[in-house]
Amino acid sequence: MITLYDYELSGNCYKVRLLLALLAVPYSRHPIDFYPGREHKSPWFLALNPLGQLPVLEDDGYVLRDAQAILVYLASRYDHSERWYPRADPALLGTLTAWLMFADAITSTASAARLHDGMFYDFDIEQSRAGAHRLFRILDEHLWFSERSATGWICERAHPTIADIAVFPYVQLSEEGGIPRRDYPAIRRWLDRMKMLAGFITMPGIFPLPSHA
Amino acid sequence: MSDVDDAELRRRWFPICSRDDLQAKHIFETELLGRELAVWQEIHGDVNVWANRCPHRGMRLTVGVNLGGELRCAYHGYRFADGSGLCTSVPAQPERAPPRSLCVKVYPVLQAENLIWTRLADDEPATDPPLSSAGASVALYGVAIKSALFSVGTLLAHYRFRPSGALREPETEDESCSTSPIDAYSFRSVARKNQMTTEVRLFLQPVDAQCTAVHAILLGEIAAELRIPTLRHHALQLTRLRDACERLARTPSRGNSHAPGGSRS
Repeated sequence: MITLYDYELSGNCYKVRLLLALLAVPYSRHPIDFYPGREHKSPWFLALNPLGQLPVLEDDGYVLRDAQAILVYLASRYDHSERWYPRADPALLGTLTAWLMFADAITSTASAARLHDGMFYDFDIEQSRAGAHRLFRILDEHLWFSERSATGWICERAHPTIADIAVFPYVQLSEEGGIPRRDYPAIRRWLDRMKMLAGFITMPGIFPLPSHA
Repeated sequence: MSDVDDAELRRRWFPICSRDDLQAKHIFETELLGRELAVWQEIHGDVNVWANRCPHRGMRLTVGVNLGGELRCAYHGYRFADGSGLCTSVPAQPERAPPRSLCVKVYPVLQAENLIWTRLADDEPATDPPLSSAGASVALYGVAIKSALFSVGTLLAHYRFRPSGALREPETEDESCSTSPIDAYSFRSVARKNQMTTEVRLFLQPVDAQCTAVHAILLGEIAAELRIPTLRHHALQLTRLRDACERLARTPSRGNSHAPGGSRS
């Protein structure tokens, strides 16, 4: 049985919940009092993850930290269609991994701005926002070309990959950190596409695309 | 910008997005001269350019739903009709016809050159947009530049585009490219090599006092195998110009001196 050490308001925890939902894999949640309790810095949690970061996944005694690593593990283990994490093509695998790293850069900028504004973290807010805008420009141009040469997903595949899932949450939550998306039309269309995926789930601050009925 | 400039700008047609930016069920968001706009395409292809504000409680319409023939506000579910912007339904009062006064602010729409154009002053005579006579065109990547309109216009003269037919050949001496203004807000960039000519049009959108968007189209068509390289070539030229423009805008002594009357804020 899978246990996710989880925080409701964390975009990095949400991306794991999102993939689990899309793959229809059952799991249980162990809520961690990230704010204001700082339970992720408590001795018992540091024994689980010395980095003191969420999320952490436990699967039949196997313990794994890092949101992107968890996506890789879950897709490799539970997605038998191999659509979410295709490994056969080395170039595609390289590109996909580069975008997983990009997701981490989004965390250290857009997510940092959100933690500053919403949970009073002592980050350089201007630097965080400027960093996020630099990344959003790169993402917007990439997705604009993806709409023309491929399918509109981050990797040139007919189906989205864990790169889309890894990048999605903190882009969609960016306004909570004072980072508007007015100047990123291709990003906004991609966010719509993500929300239309069958099995899509939300988190606080991420609303569903309302039904068109 | 002074009030006189504003009145002139409000009369003008400006492009606010490309046709490709509008997808089924999507509501596109932008600003023109600091006015927030919600742009959406109804199911038969007609385009609506609306104030991004529900007349009921002021909610942004871009968080609502494009139902195909109507837009539904996310807050109280009020629906507004394609074309007129009139309220068609108030869910909390199903028995009563919505008052005629409940209407979204609607702006005029022009579809030309693969772009969607609008102007803020619909009650005053318009200046015609500078359209080409070419039939087909291809929408290129557009950028938003954190810089005032006039500074961006000055720098666009440095935009360089190689003839798309020559993109895979080395640059030679008989190749030429020049970018010249059509008016203060639109530019023509003509590239020549041997018998090949490629023309790109660049149009400015004054988003707000600090931000200017550049829309670009290539006149004519691009051979299928050259399509992506040509689009990439343009995107590289334009993003380089954007970065140069923003470096200048950050230099206080020079960046702001281009804008007559200084910044509105």
